[in-house]
Parts: sequence; structure tokens; C-alpha cells
Amino acid sequence: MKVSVRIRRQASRESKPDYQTYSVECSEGNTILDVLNKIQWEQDGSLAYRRNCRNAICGSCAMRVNGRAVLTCQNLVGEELEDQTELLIQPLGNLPVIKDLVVDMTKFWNNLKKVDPYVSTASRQIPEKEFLQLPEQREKLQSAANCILCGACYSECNSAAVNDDFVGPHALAKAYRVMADNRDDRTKERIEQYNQSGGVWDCTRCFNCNEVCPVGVEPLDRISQIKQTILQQEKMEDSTALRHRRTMVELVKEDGWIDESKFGLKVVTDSGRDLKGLVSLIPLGTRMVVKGKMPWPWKFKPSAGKLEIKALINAVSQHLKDQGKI
Amino acid sequence: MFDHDVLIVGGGLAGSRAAVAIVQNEPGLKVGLISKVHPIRSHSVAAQGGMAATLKNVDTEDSWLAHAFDTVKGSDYLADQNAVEVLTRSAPDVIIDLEHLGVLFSRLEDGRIAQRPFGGHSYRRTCYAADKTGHAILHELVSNLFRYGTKVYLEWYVLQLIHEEGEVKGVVAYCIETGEIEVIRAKAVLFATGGYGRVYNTTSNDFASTGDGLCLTATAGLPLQDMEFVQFHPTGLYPVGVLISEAVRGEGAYLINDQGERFMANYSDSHNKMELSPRDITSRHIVQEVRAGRGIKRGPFVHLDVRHLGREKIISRIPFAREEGMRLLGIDCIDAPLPVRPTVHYSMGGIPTTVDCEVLGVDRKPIPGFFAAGECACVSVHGANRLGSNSLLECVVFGKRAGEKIGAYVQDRPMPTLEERPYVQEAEKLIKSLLNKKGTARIHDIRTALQDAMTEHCGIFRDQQSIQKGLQEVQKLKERYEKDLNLDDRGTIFNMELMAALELRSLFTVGEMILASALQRRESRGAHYRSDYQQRDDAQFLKHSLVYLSQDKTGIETNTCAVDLSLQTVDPERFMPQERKY
Repeated sequence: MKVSVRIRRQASRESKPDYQTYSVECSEGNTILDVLNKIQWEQDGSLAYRRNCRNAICGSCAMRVNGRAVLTCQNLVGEELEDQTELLIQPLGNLPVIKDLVVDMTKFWNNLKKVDPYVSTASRQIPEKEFLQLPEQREKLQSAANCILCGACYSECNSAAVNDDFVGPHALAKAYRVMADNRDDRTKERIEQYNQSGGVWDCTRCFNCNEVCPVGVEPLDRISQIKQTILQQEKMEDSTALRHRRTMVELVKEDGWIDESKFGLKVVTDSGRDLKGLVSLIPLGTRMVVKGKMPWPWKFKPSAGKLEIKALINAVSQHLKDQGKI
Repeated sequence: MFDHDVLIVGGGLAGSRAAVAIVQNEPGLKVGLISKVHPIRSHSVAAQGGMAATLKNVDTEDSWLAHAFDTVKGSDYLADQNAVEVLTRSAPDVIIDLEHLGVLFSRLEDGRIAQRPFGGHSYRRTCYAADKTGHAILHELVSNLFRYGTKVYLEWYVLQLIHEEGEVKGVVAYCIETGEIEVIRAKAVLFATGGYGRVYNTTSNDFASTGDGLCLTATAGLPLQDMEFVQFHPTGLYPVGVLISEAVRGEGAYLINDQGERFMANYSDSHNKMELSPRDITSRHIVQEVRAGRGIKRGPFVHLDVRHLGREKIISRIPFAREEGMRLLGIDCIDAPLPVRPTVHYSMGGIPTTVDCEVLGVDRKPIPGFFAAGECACVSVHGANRLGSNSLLECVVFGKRAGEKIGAYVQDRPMPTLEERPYVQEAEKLIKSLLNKKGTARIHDIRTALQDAMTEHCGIFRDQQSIQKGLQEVQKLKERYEKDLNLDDRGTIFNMELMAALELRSLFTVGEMILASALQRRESRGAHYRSDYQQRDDAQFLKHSLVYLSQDKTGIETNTCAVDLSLQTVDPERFMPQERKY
């Protein structure tokens, strides 16, 4: 069959992007990468993209197809054309374009380095034989260890799009993989490290990474696992993230839902104790006043079901206490 | 000009392992690693089945000598036995090193590393990470490259090996993104450039496996060894050619012909081990079945059947193989057999080295400043046929060994002196001449014609006539390349066509070296099967073949050298060449 393929072209980092449409003879069972190869080999040798193993393991060929990141050697023409008449192929998002479909992944790699992505055994006695690792201890690392570092998750990450400090879902999936490894001896440092700005709490939980990951890493689930580990620490230094969680429960318990005006002050300014935090709220506060979106405290009304909600929260807390979980 | 104490070319398992060994032992050295793809994209990442070592976690009676014997027998007695001794004796230690680095091996119930059977191995000694072993190892090694801050020239292509005054002094390199040309000078250069599967039309290898390191070595006037031994892996998924891991047969899969027979039983050299016979024998029998009209529905493939293993075992032990069938053919191997045929997989031959990875010249003396390890090297631990699970092992054993050797070697070697300008000028001229190609032939057409010619004339079966025909066709295609090639892309920013044109030079050179070596070996041994000389001939050919460009670089010359048989003194009965049956 003849398929129309629209590709975003860009001659260099500085050039203006443009779109070019090719007509390609292929079958439904061809991969998207087969289609790109056909274009490059038979029609236009100037088309640039990365590819290597064509078997979903090297991670080279992630691109956006019909608006979302996929591994092009994995997805088939038939699947992608289901409700389209044309294939649209663009480079990964959130990374600068070098040429056509080739992006500069420097930031992606640098972010990975930030989580210290290796198993550390420096302070442990190195045995003559292997460290023991039970099948179930290994099993819980499996999904994170599936990562091929293709960049699909990073491309679609809403947090990476607006937050320059966020290390990205790929880095945090790797962070979980090393942190949860029973052979790693830096668990405590890692918990502190990933609790910092740029780490797990900067994820917006938009779910895109789970949606696009081609190899079942489900980075959001790994991020949640790190968060759980952090929250289980008894002696964690108070932080914005922890206050966020605690304050949410406190406010809901009090009024049945959240009084936004109190929420910001308690979380970001530590109830006024953190002056830097207080100052940081001024620009946002000003914009909210101007746009008429400020949740003035005198406009707030508690929920009608607040007593019931309070009873529910108390019951759950009691239950967890009885079980020794808090 | 950039300077390094050590420059490693290639970032796969051998290159990365060498880099880590150097920084761990000699943290003060300035190490550079150059690769045309990001190290994590190297073809090592695709290795599936595993890595052999006599850990004795499962079969306690196993020994390094048993591993050595299996390897030598698998090699059809062409492996150098001193090198095999190093390989098999070091194996347990290098596995433990990797485990300590964090590699996620599959485990036994008690937490020790699991081991499984593999073709040609007489004990369960293959360590693995499900069926993504290369991925598990390479990702940890590359993480460690990050950890130690190794300088990586990412997506740079080596245009020339600088070999002058009898020593290697560095390389000339081309930046794929910018078109920049640089001379990189080093006290030692390590080639870890991998294989050349792309010389053939059906291969398990990635697009980057174009034999660049072998071509650069040959072009520098240095010899290649045992190039006629091209491994066809029996179970390439038909028609795409990607690999269905040997682990699948290790777990008990059947090979079935159109009559529903497990045909391996019908051949005298495979009726005991059946599907777990070595790759050369299994590949030949698949082709023999197809030629006899017993391919499935008379087609060019047979069936690989795992249905009897049951759903649970398939999902836990060979998930990747199942996923490949579903993704590429829409076949779930739980319900239906997979169509397979042999696919070019591995290069037994390569750059001749000592057991310390020093590259040997035509006179069999080490070339100062030049080392090689991994698939591009020929130590030789695989001889005429490699056993599964021995290639990852080779990369890690000799990668590490190269790193250790080089770390000590560069301590008292001065930085070589060289004149940079002529090298840069020559490289500029080459790039310019390619960018100006304005003929009528597309690269893809010439490359496909070359791959078809090699597959047709120097495949699983070959004879004098076919090889000579192959040499003639390659000559014609080379002329077409020179006179009639056309490039669409004339820019220097990430020009993939220019890269393809450079890689095609490598394919030509490697192809010619394979043909010339195959022509002079008038016997059948391991993966080299001559229809006109069907017997092994130890009297004449228990020798390595050497192939190199003539002095004036217009012709190809061949020679031979002796095979090391030192384990015969340890165990004369087993290590004397015998008929090979499984």
C-alpha cells in the first residue's frame, strides 16, 4: 500500500523547521523505522535520524509519531494508521534538534548522571563470590531495569517541559533501580538526594511517561516507590514536600476540603517561618490577585460533610496505628 | 589535535570494560573513548543468551578444563589453546567482578547466580539475565563510565588509523554532528570495534556492524586473521533476520521441518545433542533441509517450536524471544512455532593479537601502541566456530585484560610525535570527494548488491568457483562506487549518507578479505564449509590464515601461522584433534 508520511525537517540547529511529505510503498506489518529507512535509501538520502539494532533494545530510534513518542522499530504502520490517513513523524520533545529527527541528548545524559546511576558497594566488604540476591529481591528491580534509555518518557514529560531542574522520569527510574538494589550501600544518601529539588517531588504525575514507555518501565510507578521510601523515613528533615503531604491531611481533616490560602502559606512558607519561601510566593500571589484568582480566606467555606470526613480520617489513622504502620 | 594516554575505539562491552579497568587501576591516566554511536547503543546491548563461566553454582563437577575442551572442540581445533586457557580460567572472576559492579544476573532460589545449558557446552555454565544479558551488563558498565568521568567522543567516526614508522600513534576522526576533523594522538590505541554482519544481506547485527575497525587495520597494511570463518546463527527470525536467542534451544526448543520431524536426529554429527549442537552444524543442517525441499511449505525456513515448554517457562525464561515474534510477525510462540533460518551473527576472525591484546603485524611481532579486544580481535579463542556464551565472555575477559595491560604499558611510553597537517588534509580530501559524488547509483543499491553477492558466493556453503565469482563481483561494485555513486546530502551536519558511504568502504574491504581467505582454505572446518573440499584436512590446514594488502596496496596476499596447542600437554587425549560429533 502507499502511505503518506509527513516529516519535520530541520537542516541544522539554527535553521527554521519545515515539513516534507513522502509517499512510501509499504505494508501494515512494516515498522515505522522500515518506512524511514525506505525513504532514506530509496528517495531522500538527506533525511537524518538515529537507528541501530532495529530490535527494541538499543534505544536509538525513539521519535514522535502522530504526536507521541514511540520506539520506531517497535510500532507498526498498521497500528499507527488506525485512525489516520497520514503518518506524522517528528523529533523527540524537550530536547534541542540537531538535524531533522536527530536531537541533542546531552541534557538527558547529564540528568541521568545526577542520580549517581550505579550500584555502590564501596563501603561493603567485597566477598570473594557474588553478593547474594534472592529472585524476589531481583524481581522488584526488573521493570526499572528494563529501561533502554531511549528518551521517549523525557520527550513527553510535562515537568521537564517547564522545570529546568527536573532530572526526568528516566533518571528517577534508574534512581529507583539502584536505590532498591539490596547490594547498594548508599540507600540513606540516595533518599536524601532524591528528596531534593529536581528530584521526585518535581514530578507532576501527569502519567505521560507510563503511557509512552516502550519497554514497561512505568517510570511514574518507580517515582512513587521512591516517594514511599522517603516518607517511610522516621527522621526526615522537614521539607516542602513532606509539609505538602502533612498539611493536605491536616486541612482536609479540619474543613473537609482544602483552604487554598492556608495551604500555600503552610507548605511553602512553613507557616511564615521560612521568609525566603514567603518572598517566593509574592510574584505568584500578585498574578493571582490581578487575574482574580486569589483564594481570599474570607471567601472560604468549609465542606458540609466536614465532620464525617474528619471521622473517616481519624478511623484510618487509628487503623494504621493499630497495625504499626505509623 | 587532541592527546590521550589511551584512546579506546568502540564503547561496547570490550571497550567499556577496558575503560573501567584503566580508570580503576590507573586513575591518573587520561583516557578517551570514541564511538560512532553512544556506547549504550553498541551492539553488545543486543546480546541475549548469556556468558559462560565455571562458577559451579549448578553443576558442581564442571571445571575450567572442561570449558576449555568444549571451546576447543567447538572451534574445530583451530582456537589457540593458550588463549582458551586464559579465557576459561578467568571466566569465574570476571563474572563476579560484573556482579559486584551491579549487573542483575538471574538468580537461583538461594540467591546465587543461576546457570543454564547452552549449545556445545557439556555443563550448565551459562550465566544470564533472562534473555537480555548484554543489556544488563552494558548498562552497568556505561553507568560506571559516567561515574569515572571518562571522556567520550560521542558520535565520532574514525577515518584512519595512524600507523607510521612501525608504530600506532593515534587516529584521524570525524565528528558526525559538525563535520569537524581532528587528529587524536595517543600512547596506546585500543580497537574494540565489533563485527561486520552488514557485509551480508541477512544478519542479526545492528546497522553499525560494518567492520570499520577491521578495514582501518587492513588499510594501514596490517594483517587480519581467519577471516573465512563467518558464523551463521541457526535461528534468525524469518524474514527479518533478528536473532531468536540460543537460550531458547537451551531451554528445550525443537527444530522441526515440514514433515514435522526433529531433523537434527537425522544427521550423524548432531543426533546426540540434537538442537544443542553448535551453531555451524545446526545452521548447515537447516540449509540442507531447505535444499532438500523440507523447509516449511517448501519455503526457505524451518520451525522453532517452544509450545511444549509451557506458558510459564516461556514468559519467565525467554520473554524477549516471545516479544520479538509478536512484534515482528504477530506470532505468539506460546501458541505457534516461529519461522527461522540462519542469519550472519559473528566474526570469528579479526585483528590478530597476543593473549595480552597486543596487535600482531605481518611478521607476528606486536605493533607498538596498538591493541585490540572483543569481536574485532582474533586472539584466537573461537577458532573456526564460536560457542554461544563465549563472546560476551571474550569481551569482558580480554577487555579487562587489555585495560590492565595498557594501563601499565603507557606508564613509560612517551607521547608519539607526528605531523598533523597531512593527515587532516588527506581526510578533508576524502570527505570532499565523497560529498562531490554525482553519479547515478544510490548507496543502498550498491550496498545491497554487495551484500547479495557475499551471501550468494561466500555463505554457509562455498566453493572455488563461487568465491572467485564473488571476488569479481566485488571488484565491479567497487568500480561502480568510485565512478557512479551519488549522494543526495552534500552537507556536513549529521550526514547519514556520508557515513553510509564511509561504512560501505569498510564492507568492501572486509568482504574482499573474507573471500580471499575462503579461497585459500581448501578444506571444511567449523563455519567454513567448502563444497569442493568437504573434509577437514589437519595435515595442511590446522593453521590460522592471514590476509593483508600487498605493499603497494593494490592486491591481497595471504599467509598462514601456527595454532597454539599447549593444552595437549595437560590433557593429550582430549586436546588432540578428533572428528567433531555432538
